[in-house]
Amino acid sequence: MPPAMPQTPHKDDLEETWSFLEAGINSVMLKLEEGVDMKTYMALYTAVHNFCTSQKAVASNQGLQAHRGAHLLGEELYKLLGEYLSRHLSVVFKESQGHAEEALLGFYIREWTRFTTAAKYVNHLFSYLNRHWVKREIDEGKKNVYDVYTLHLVKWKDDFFEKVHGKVMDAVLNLIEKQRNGETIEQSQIKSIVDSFVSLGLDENDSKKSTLEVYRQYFQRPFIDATRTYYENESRQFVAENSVVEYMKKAEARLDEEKARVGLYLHPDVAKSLTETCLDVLVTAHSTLLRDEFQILLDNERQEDLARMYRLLSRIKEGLDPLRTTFENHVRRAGLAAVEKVASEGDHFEPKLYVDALLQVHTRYQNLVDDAFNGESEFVRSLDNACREFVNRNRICKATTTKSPELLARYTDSLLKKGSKAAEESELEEMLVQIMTVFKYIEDKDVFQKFYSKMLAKRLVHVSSVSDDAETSMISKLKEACGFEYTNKLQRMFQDIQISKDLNASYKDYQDKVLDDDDRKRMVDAHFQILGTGFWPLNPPTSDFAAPVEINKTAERFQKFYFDKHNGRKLTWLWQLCKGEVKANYIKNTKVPYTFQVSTYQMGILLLFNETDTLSYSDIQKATTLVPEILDPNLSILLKAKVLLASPEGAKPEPSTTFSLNYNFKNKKIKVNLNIQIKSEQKVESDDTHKTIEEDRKLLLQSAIVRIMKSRKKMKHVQLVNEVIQQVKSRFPPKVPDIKKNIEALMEKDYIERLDGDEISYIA
Amino acid sequence: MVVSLGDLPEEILHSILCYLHPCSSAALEQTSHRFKNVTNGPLLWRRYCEFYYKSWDRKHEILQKLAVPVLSVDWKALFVLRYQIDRSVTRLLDSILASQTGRIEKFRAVIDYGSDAKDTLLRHSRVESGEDHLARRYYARALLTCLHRSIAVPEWAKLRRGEPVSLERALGAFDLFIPESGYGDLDEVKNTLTDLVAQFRASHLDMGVLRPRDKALSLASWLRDNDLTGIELGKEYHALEHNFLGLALKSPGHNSLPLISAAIYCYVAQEIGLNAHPCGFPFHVHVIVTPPPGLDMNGDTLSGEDVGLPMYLDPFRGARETPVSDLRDQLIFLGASATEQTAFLGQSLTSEIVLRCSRNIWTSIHSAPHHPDGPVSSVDVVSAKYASLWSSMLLSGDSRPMDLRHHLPLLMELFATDFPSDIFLVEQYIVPLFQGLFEHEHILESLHVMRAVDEIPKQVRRRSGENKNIGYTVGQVFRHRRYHYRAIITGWDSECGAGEQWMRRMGIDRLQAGRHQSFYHVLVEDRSVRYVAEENIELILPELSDLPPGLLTIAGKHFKRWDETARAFVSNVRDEYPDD
Amino acid sequence: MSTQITLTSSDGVDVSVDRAVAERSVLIKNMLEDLGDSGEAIPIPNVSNRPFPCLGCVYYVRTSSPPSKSNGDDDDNRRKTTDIDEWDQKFMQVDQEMLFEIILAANYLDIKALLDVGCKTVANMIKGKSPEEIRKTFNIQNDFTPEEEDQIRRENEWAEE
Repeated sequence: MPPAMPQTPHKDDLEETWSFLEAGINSVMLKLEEGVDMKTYMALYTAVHNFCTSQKAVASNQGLQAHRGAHLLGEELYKLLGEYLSRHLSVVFKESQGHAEEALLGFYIREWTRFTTAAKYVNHLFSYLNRHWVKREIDEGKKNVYDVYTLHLVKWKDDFFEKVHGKVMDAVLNLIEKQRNGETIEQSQIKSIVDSFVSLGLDENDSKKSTLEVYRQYFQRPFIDATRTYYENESRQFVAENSVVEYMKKAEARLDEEKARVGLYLHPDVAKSLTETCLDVLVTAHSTLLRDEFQILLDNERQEDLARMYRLLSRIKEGLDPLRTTFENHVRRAGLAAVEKVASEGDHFEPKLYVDALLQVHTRYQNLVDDAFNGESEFVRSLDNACREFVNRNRICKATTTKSPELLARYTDSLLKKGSKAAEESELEEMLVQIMTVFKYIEDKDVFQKFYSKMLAKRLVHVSSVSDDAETSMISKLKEACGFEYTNKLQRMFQDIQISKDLNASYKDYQDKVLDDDDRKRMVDAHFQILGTGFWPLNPPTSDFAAPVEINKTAERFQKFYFDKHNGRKLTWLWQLCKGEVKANYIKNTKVPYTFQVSTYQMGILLLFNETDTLSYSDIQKATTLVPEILDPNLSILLKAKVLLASPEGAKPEPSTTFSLNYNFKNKKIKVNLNIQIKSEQKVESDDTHKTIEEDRKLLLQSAIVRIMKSRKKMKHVQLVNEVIQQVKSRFPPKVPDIKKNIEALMEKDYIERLDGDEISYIA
Repeated sequence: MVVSLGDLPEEILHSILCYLHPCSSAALEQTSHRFKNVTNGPLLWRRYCEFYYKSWDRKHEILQKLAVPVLSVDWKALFVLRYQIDRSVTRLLDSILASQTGRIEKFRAVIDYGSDAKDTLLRHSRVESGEDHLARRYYARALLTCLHRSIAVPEWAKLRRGEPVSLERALGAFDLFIPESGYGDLDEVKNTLTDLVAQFRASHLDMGVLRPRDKALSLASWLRDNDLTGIELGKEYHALEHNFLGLALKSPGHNSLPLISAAIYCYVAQEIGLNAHPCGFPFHVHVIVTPPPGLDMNGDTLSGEDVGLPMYLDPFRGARETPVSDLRDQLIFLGASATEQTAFLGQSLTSEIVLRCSRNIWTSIHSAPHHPDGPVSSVDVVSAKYASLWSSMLLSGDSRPMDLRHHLPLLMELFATDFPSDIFLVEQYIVPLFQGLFEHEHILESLHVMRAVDEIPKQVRRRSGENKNIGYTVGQVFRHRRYHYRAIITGWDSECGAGEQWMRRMGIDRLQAGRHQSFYHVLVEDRSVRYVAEENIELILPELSDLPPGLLTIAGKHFKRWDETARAFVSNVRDEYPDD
Repeated sequence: MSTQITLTSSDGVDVSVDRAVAERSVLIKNMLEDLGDSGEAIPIPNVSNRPFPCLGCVYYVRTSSPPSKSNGDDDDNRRKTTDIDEWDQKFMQVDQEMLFEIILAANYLDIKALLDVGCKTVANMIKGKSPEEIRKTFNIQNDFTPEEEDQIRRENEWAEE
């Protein structure tokens, strides 16, 4: 049997209506768990509705209406409801005083849940009041009138929250401290408190909106303060008792923990200031200590700890800047030390040793940057700065910075020359890539180019390249790094060799057609290379040379063929680079005759002995027309190899010496190489290269100046110097006095002139 | 229990009242005490005010009133005031329509209500039917635009006096001259621009950290990417509508000349903290952005007294910076002297930009192709011309009276034929310009004549006696026998009433019937007014839909409506031609 | 899922409607939300039999029409027009007393769309009438003294044509 419909109060009677409502609200507020039956619910709503729409009440308020026109009923109910809530909350407050700490939290949450659940019901029961009276009050611009649900929150805040928030927060903070100390706590309690604080943030101007103000002021602020104090104490103590490395581990763990805490039970709004506070206390406050450890960690190569330090300091403002300087200095010192070690082994070390030393240092710290410093660009920059320093300025380069590019070029040559130890092609490619790593740091790139092209020329002329692929690969790498202009000549040299191969093939066809049998019998089997004058770093012979008849004939025949093809070209024979083989049929103590590999000059000397066994120095000189500077060392080689014998015995090649053929020549090999480089040549060559570099630089500077002035017409001196530096620095680091000197030189040549006020003008 | 209206609770009665016209509320108020109370709720009258009247004169400070508690304002009194103005404006308009006499004072009375008259005029300018709807629409619109002009002209006058006027107000004033722009207030132009600023901000949240140069460039590219500056491909560069800031902001393609593009750019730029101004470069207005003091455009600190170099942009063309060397080269090419170069590359005064805009409009009017059948410009050419004349009159320097003299007759003619309601504006703003010049007397004289003509009732032209043989009547539509244009008859003379000089120039005596035949005042479809001999008139009976819409609009000047059966317009000048 | 809800009017008449229909009343919607549907008949103490069955059937019939109109809490829209669509007009063709009862019921049950239609209907009945005509239409007792009446007429002269 359902309960009967409760009798609704008389609609005109405020007291009766209110006492009926109060009883209803009371049961919602205090005994909701017992349930509200539908009839009571409807009766309560109806009582509010009836009161608000009653006519009699209007009449009783006639006095009020007289001056304000229309009037809606409801103010009394609203007031009474507010008073009821205040009374209820003062009871709640009194009860709360019996609780503390976690019990208080439990109490707060219980009451809060009860109160807000009831508020939702009461809001619905009073919805008629909301719809009309409250709405009109707000429309009319009244302050401090809220819909019934919000009224509940306002009352809670004013009559309860204001009195207990301090105690509640103390309990919350104690709980959090316990958790930080490692105890297990009831997290959901804190979450409920946070939610309650957030709900209380009401926008004064618009009750539909909420703000985080209450939460920020009463929760966030004390929480952040407590966090700061807690970690200040903890970190101070921890640092005193533990190593820096241990401290970093601790700090990192704490930061992670606090980050997780936000997700567990705090409002996301706190995340930013919580992280900032923790970083401030845990990292910034100890940053000097951390940074002091950095050098030690570097020295001991503690990669993991370095990475941790990076992670921590990267999160605070300008935390890493001091580390970068330390890192740069450290790498530079490591590089210099490595070079020092190479240098200490004497002057004649292999270029490989030097380059390897540079590379090793670079690789080690490149890996460190990648793994520990997250490959961060600023650290990459520091690494590059350090490498550039020790590659260009170290003990070996003490005299001149051009030593590094020279050694790098020589090392490259040793890799690309036949007989290098890097057998595997992939291995070779790998090493070329490494060379480029060093190359990147080289400042005098023009020096490298000079040496490289000399050595390439030699490899090509002497057919001693390890492979065409490796050569092209290297050239294209240089092209990529420095542009087309840088490798233009190298490529042309390479092309000349290809063209020459074709030329020899068609020359062979030509010979087959033109030669008679007699010619063929006397023919020397020859190979020719045509090298373009402008592209090859080669000089014409320094001495006259009367080539042997056989060679001369062969040369003339080729020349005829070539001029038929390319009318008007000029051929210069680079005898000093030619070589050949001669068979020694006169030596009888072996079945197979010896073959001598000789230079053309040596050939010229030896072939004279076909006519006679003994020749005087002047005979030879007259016949070959070689200057003594060339003739003497070549004779020395032949003497030393005992192909010729000197008379008097042991005499040096000089005008008083005579030479005779050694019929008793003996050697373990059938093929004897007599074409060996003369010791002094290498040194001379290197010096020459350095000298041409100075010349080239002068030209480069002057052409840059002219180019700039031609386009700008007029320019300040300082500007011009700057512009020139910009243009040439990819080749070499120019010195300002050099630029000035060249500007002067161009003025003398009337390319440019000086105007008033430090301005320079171009003369067309 | 029997329920009656009075038994309904207050809140329900309030809802019912919200649906009632205020006059019905007033009637209900008089029925009993109960309803007197209910109908006097202040919220109700505030709602009526907000609902029935959108435009409020500045003096009401309506926004402030809406913000304070409802009880502190007597909303009912305010509503009654507005309602009475509404009625009064309607009565004035009715009276303007009823007689050609004394219109000037009636115009004045309407204009004096300021923005309070706007709701009423708008309502009348939209009537679709009714006994005199063509005339009603015409005069309501004329008054509305007159009201707008009385907002626009003082802005230029302020500039003339050297008082500061922001660029968007000075340029927005042109829009107020154009009824099609839809702008009724300068704040509306500004609000549209402010919306742009908000949009730009929303899509560029990183603005704070950018260097001034990058800010300037990203704004230019944003405007260009959203087609807010420049002109779409295929659009006529000189099209009239490209000259108006407000129109450019509102129209779908946002097409605008460099000057307007630059103005749009400068407004947004200034709002986001850039020091941007139009730069009066010849042929093509650019924008000059100067760095804040002590910094350069890259945001780097300058040493000592150094001033950072400005950057130049051309928002019309796109997002790239224009190197100052390019601009200089062009100037050298144009043969500008060093001082001229400095002037051309500096910031322009707002008054210079307004003058330039005025000249641009003039150019557009005279260079745009005039195809009667081609695409109709969305801008009324006459209004545009009028705006151009006003602005150039007000802003030509005093040092150049020749400009004033040159523009005066054009302005006076246009004013007299198309904008007679502006007589107060002319008296207040144009007359003082000629103080001390011999034209001064002339203007005063012609204004005096205008007033006199307005005040004296029209001479009544009856169709009797010498007028018995007039062949056609006011309102008939005809085609000109020789020139083939269509036109409406607006008045007649029994014989040619024009001066001797005019007759000689037009060769009247060479007509078959010479000067002694009926002559007609006519309104031509191209909106011009002509004087035609009867022998050249060939009546036509068109359908309303055959006539150009523009003709219908101006027909309201003389006619009440279109008579479908007679296929002619119904005269609104019966006080002059009672028998037509 | 058309759960049926039973509503009991103040004079004890039961009506069954779809829950979705019943929930067009914000009061019933809130109550079902708070208390759950116990299956019990819902007592509607303030609404008597007379308008009550009509409400039930009206909203039964109208379930197909989208409830957007009833959701729009837009004051402007409400005031913009006194136009009532044909269907509503027919529905409102009832005697005055019934009309007011429907309005009161809609107000009590918080059915916005119905309340609006009712108010519009009353507004249309007032439109264009003189005070005397209004008194007559709604049977209003003139309780002004002649002096009061005279004064109030003068105050409202502005509204007269």
